[in-house]
Amino acid sequence: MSFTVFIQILIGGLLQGGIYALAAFGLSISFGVLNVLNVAHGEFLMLGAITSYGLFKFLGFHPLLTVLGVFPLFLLVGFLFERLLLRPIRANSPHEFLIASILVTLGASLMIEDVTFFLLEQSFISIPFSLPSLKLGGVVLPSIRLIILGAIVCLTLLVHLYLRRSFTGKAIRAMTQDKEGAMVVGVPVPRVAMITFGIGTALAAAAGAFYVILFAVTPSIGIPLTVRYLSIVILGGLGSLVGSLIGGILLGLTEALTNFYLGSHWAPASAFFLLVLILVLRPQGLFGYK
Amino acid sequence: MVQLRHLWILMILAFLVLAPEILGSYKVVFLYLTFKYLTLAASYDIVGGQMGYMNLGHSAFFGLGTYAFGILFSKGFGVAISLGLSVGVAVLFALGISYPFFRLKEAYFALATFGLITLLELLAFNLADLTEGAAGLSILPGMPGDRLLLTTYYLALATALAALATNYHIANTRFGLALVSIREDEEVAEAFGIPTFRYKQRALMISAIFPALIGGINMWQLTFTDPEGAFGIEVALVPIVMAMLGGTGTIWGPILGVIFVTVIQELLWTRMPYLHLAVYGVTLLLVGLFLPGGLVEARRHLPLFKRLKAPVKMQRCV
Amino acid sequence: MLKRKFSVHRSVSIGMGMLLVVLLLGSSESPALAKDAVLIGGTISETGAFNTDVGPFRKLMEAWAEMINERGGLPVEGKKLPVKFILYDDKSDRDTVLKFYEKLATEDNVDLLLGPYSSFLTLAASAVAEKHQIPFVAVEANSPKIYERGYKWIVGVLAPATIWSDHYFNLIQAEGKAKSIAFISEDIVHAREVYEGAIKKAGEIGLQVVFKEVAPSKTVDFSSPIAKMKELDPDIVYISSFHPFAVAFMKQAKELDLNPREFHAIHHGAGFINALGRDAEYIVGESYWVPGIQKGDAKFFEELLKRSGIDAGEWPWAAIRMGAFDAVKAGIEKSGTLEPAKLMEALKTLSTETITGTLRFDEKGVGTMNTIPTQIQNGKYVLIWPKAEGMPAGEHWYPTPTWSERK
Repeated sequence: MSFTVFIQILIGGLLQGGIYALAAFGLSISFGVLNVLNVAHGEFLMLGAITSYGLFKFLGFHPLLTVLGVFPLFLLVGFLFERLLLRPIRANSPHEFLIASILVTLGASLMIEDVTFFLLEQSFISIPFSLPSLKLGGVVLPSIRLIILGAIVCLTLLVHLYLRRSFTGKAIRAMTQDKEGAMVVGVPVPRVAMITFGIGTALAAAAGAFYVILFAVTPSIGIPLTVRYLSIVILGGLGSLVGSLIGGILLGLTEALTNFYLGSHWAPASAFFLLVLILVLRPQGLFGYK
Repeated sequence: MVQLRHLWILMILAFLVLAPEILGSYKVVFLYLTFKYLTLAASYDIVGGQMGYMNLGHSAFFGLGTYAFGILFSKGFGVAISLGLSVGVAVLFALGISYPFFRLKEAYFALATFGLITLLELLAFNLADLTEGAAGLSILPGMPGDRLLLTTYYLALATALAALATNYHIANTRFGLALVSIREDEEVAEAFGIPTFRYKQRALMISAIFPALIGGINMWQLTFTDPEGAFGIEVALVPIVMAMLGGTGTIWGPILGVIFVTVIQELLWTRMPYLHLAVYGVTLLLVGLFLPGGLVEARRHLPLFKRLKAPVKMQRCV
Repeated sequence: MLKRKFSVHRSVSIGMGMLLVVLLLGSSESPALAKDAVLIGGTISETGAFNTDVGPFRKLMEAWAEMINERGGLPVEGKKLPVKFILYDDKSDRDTVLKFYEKLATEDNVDLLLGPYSSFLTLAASAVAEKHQIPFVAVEANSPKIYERGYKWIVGVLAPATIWSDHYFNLIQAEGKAKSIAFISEDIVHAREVYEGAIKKAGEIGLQVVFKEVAPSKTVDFSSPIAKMKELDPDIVYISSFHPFAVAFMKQAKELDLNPREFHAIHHGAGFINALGRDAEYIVGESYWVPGIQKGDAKFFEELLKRSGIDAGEWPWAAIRMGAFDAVKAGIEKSGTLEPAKLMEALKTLSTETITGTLRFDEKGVGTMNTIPTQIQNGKYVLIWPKAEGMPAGEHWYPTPTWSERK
């Protein structure tokens, strides 16, 4: 295959990785900080996609700007979710908490999925919108995906700064390292937990707003997506945002290359092998602590 | 006390054995499916509950058993040999994956094992020469439908009982105690001289026997499988949820969980045309919120049962 | 040695109690009543993956029963009996299908069974029908595998998946313009069978197959196959898949500027146009029926669609259900009885007119409803082949302009 095609593949993988990273980002925050195996993460992405579609169709939002409406709405959703469903179970022992969080979030996922099936009139949705692609030499650069990659890089920097400079940010980092210690020094853990989860949920929904432009969304994509994004977060290492960014990109590249050399049917397997390889060599993930 | 309890169990067993005579084939199918889930939930709990390693990939053994049986049976091997070899395949698989996977902890282990199922599903799709890929594997059962249902019914019942009995037995041996200590604090267990890796491996291999067996039986009964039926998310998660709902780490937990879920499903599915999945979700949610120890724990909250002793469940000391 | 104390006989009682409750509640072995309705059983995938294909079809079935009953019902043993459906949600899941078809056959005592959506579920459902010897009409199922088991109690209205695009390729051959073709398929039974049949037919009419690949269902990144296709520059790009796959592919095809002379997507109904907007223009696919086709009782069908609020473009498989309804009606009218063996015989030897043409079954039970190629033109599905009586064929827009030309 020619060189241009090869570069095209690499770029495709890189951009796909950017999309993965955007969706995994929110999960990294809630999983890393709160230790919650949030099975419902993919559902929030799906809901964000649907909300975005609704804003586009019924309120005439520009497809790229729906995220401005989706983000604040889902901050609120995340706050409520954490306050009502997760805080009460935090009192249990860690093992019980893990089980309880799975039951609660899985239950919530099924509920969200089924109610969405019921209420949604269409079988799948997608926003028909595209931007002219940039062409460099023989290589084509899809614009929306570039924007997404740009967005995720900015987000990573922003959140990184936030964590380093602001009080809440430092509080979050403290909680990641040692929850009890954080409580001892006066960090308002319940409130910070709520804010953290809210941010995580809002990020998932924002990813959904982009997802619905690029792909088709059905109510059942939630759980499979959650599994994939959890793997990215673990690959990158719990508690590391840069880790999930790198993890996502690494995954995108691996899939693209496998796709090219071995054919599309082996691409998902490569994701798995990558995960296992990294975990075996480095059980805490690429950038994780402990 | 002991007499009364044994009498109850005997009555239930007698009922189940005689069920095909008393009940119509619809209910027999229903019971058969219950046995299938019970086997999966109970065998999951050896590693997931007693040992505390959430093996979300437990149904991988089921899927392997399904396909192994299908492939062997369609090549002419008899039922017994096919079942036996299927179990062998799953146990060897458990042996193999324990080397890389037991290096991982908790959530990582759970995730990686779940990813394993996705991988196996993909292999089932791609290795189409062996598995017929997306089209799925079909076999000719070699027996008329009625007799097949009857035979697989009893086989499934036997397998479910064997899984429960194994659970019970392990819990009452030093091996079981070692597993519990691994769950509570692995480093301390290791320090006390327990060969943690060897025991973890052994537990995983034992837990692989029953799902593989029921997978083969199920393949024989359905005469058909495909990658999603063997390795899909539903067959992966449902038994685990049942075990968690009932109460992991206990013997009666999986039983209660399976009964509870199948009862609810049955009541809902035939009566509510819509939204039963949502109701199921709400149930899970409520149990998670209020009874994370599972239904088994419900006893503790009801005044009637206060004078009964709870099963031995150690608490974290720190 | 620690022994766990199992003073849990209370839990056992609760468990036993619940089990008994369930079994008793389920005990609806109703005594044999005098026959006062024709009972047709089936399951619909109201939830689960197939909900995007047949979700609202309960309304369709019930509207049909309503319309038939308004016209007096169906003739059984000299009397006219109303039709009644007994339907359950199969969750798009095989275990559930198995369970409910057992129930329909043994507890609900239906006279006839309609199949669930997809060959996959139909394989299981039909096995139950065969076991209990109840006439089974397969609906949205066209895998040859269904008919290779030597079953005696099944007929299916659809022609095999492998000839899905036959009419389309006949058109291509007649026009003589396209020379090469690239294939991509979703790795799922239906799509693969269509894909394999299409490759064969393409070869038979002299098209050069320059590329073929099968990708997993959940693929969202097609940059690799698209890049390869660009280099090979085929005249036709043929996508054998369900909607989400095809939509994601088409979007990337535009992003990456893939310009064949024609895009072909085997399923291009149900929301496809909504998802792609103007980018859906020029795409050719297959439908079973478009408004304007005058075969069978087209007026009845249009009324049925209106009553159940189902749009034929949105839900193309409604046409298949209509074919199944026509088969059931004709079968009962022909046999005049609900006695299983006679009814089955009547069904197998039917020759009746339905909305897509003549419906007949071969000795294995395989039907004759097949698709026709339609092209999306100005947001509508236009029939482009064959030009025949009762078939209002329009013009085939070929070649498709490039993406930049389409601004």
